[in-house]
Amino acid sequence: MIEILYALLLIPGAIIIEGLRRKTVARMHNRAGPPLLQPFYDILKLLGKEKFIYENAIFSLVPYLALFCSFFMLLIFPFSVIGFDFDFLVLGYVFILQDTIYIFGALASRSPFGMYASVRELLLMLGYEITFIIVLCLFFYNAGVYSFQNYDVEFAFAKIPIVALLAIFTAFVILRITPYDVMNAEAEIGAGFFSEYSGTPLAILDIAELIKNLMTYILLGFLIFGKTYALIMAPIFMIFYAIMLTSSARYSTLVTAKTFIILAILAFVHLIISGSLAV
Amino acid sequence: MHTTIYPIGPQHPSLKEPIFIKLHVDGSRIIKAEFNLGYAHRGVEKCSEGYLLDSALHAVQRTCGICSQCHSMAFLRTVEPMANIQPPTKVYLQRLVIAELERIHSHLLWAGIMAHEIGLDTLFMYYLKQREHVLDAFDELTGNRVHHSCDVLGTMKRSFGKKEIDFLLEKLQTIEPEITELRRVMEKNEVIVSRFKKHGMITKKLATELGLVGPVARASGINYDVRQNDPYMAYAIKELKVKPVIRTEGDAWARSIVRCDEVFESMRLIRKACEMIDPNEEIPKKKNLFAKDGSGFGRVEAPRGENFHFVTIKNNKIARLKLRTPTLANVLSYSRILENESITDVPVIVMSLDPCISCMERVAVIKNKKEEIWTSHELFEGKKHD
Amino acid sequence: MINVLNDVKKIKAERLISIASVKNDDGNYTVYYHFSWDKKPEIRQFSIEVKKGDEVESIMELFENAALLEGEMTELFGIKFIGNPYSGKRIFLAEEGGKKCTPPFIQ
Repeated sequence: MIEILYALLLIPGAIIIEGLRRKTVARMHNRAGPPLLQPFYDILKLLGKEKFIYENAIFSLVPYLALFCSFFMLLIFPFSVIGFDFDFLVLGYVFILQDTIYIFGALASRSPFGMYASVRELLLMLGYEITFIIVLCLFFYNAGVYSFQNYDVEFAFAKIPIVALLAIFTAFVILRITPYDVMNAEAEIGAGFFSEYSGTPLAILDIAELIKNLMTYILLGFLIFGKTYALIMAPIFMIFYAIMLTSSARYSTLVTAKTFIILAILAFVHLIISGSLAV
Repeated sequence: MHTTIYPIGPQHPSLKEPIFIKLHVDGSRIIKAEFNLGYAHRGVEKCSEGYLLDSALHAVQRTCGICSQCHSMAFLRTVEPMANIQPPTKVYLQRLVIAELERIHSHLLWAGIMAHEIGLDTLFMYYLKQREHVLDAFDELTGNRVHHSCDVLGTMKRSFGKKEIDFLLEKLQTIEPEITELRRVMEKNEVIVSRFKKHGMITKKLATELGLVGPVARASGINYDVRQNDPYMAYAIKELKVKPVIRTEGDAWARSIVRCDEVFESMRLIRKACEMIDPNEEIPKKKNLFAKDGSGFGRVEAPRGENFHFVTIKNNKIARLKLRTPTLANVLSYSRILENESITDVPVIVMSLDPCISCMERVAVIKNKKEEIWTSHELFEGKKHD
Repeated sequence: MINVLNDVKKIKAERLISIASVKNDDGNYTVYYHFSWDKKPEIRQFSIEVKKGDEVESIMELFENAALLEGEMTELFGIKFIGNPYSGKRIFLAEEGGKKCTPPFIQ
């Protein structure tokens, strides 16, 4: 029962949580923000605008591929409607596949802004891909299982606090909070990747982005707090990231994250060498 | 070596006004920079031919939204001696108050935009919130928030009474502690310092060679401010002498600090001038004036530099009006300082010179009894007003 | 061609403020130069008479900010300045249907 509700309320939930995020950011700025359903109005407006397409097949397909990746996460995640028993690494692949599709889209758009955006995004992916997979591996090693359906650990941060902190830091990059939004940096490259899309393709890309953000919040809640509390902790993580977006304290905290990353890599290597983790 | 052309195009999220900067880049490093102008030219030096003096003043005040009072003061500094009229001291003091308030609001807006370019959105919102107080003060003093055209030949439209001056002083009291805190952020925050220092260097030699004016020149060590070197209107009074802010580093950070410090200097001048205004005094009423034939010039210190007007009068009407705005003098340096920089520094460097493109292209709104909009076709055929 | 460069060298000015031109009644132009000495402070105005169709020597060797000012003069009045790369280029006006437009101040 809860699975069907989850599948039906996915897109409205993504819209409302994005609206709440914008409101939180606006209250931090000492102003009243946009109405709660503002992302919905934005998407409606975009559906009525003219669209410009080039002859590339990749350029036309990219929005729909990105949406496919977002929906694929439904099959893996806890309250999966169909109940597939996938490995946890498939989720890592799907997250990273979505970013790779963005890079293809930026390169196919034949504009100098897109070219720069894709080069920077490639450099960024080299950085955070590794830590993301390490985080997933370490959490599941702690639980001792291989699939999301069997994940039974509650309050994992009590046992492996360092890995939990590492997960929180990696989510900064997945959510594209400002030092890491090199791909759509507004000032320098004119919102690089998204600058050539308009109309319906852009609306579909926005929906894919919203769903990915919601999945990130739920994933964090699921890994750190366990199956029963995942949905409740998602808004709390959203508020945390909205507040960190608006304060420049994040720069000094993210610098100390380097030490955690080194610790996590060392822990992973130790586990492999001592033979406890079957690779 | 193969270079790509990278357009900081006429439309770009980091530019507030349209200007086309064409960058030849190799990888991420800039080899050459060119610029194209003309996207906001509305052709009014031609349109003010044949206007009466009052209509021309009305047109000149609307050249730019942010620095409208400085254009009006430069025009009046030129024309009032030719019409042989000297307004009383209270009018001079009122004009000074409005001009210094305008300097404050222009610098606050600039600081907010710079913070937005490097991604610190919260700082942008905080700066604009302080600017709202200044705009409220404008609303109370002149009746309008942006194009406050309160100057008339020889006098002003409104006289400041006790209520307005108290409101203004209270607003200054509200914003002062906040601006002190924001200046501390500008000076000490590690993100701002690392992105502004050592980028966009203008040495003193380059500044003298190109004839740069304004805070850009003062941040490179040139000690030139029109209010100090060539005092006009109320700046000639001894208590209102201006001490300009000079820095020697010449990079974008030095320009930020110069502008932040000028805000404090302006607040000091406004408080001094408000003490000297007598709230009960009356200012003269508007009169029709007759100006002699001939030509004259005058200059004032706009928020962005030295603003120079040159006027030729014939038959009590304007025969030729030439504005040389500070951005026109500063824009040539783009091709020099953008070389050998990386693309990521371009928005910081472009905005640190504080370009006001509408000033540079000389625009104004024409409004006689009926509203007329000139098409470029009529402009080229030379349709004249009477 | 009217030679201005030697006279301007003799003036020994510190900074060039502006170049403007006015159309006289008999159809010729007067070009005004404004120079400034910042320390004194002093502004001096010099003028030359230019007939229609004449060309003037550019003072870009001495003062580099004459570039845009002289270019604007060529575009709006039709007076050519020799030695200035911006003279003759379209700076401010729009192109009507792709062809260059006549300078508007000539009438």
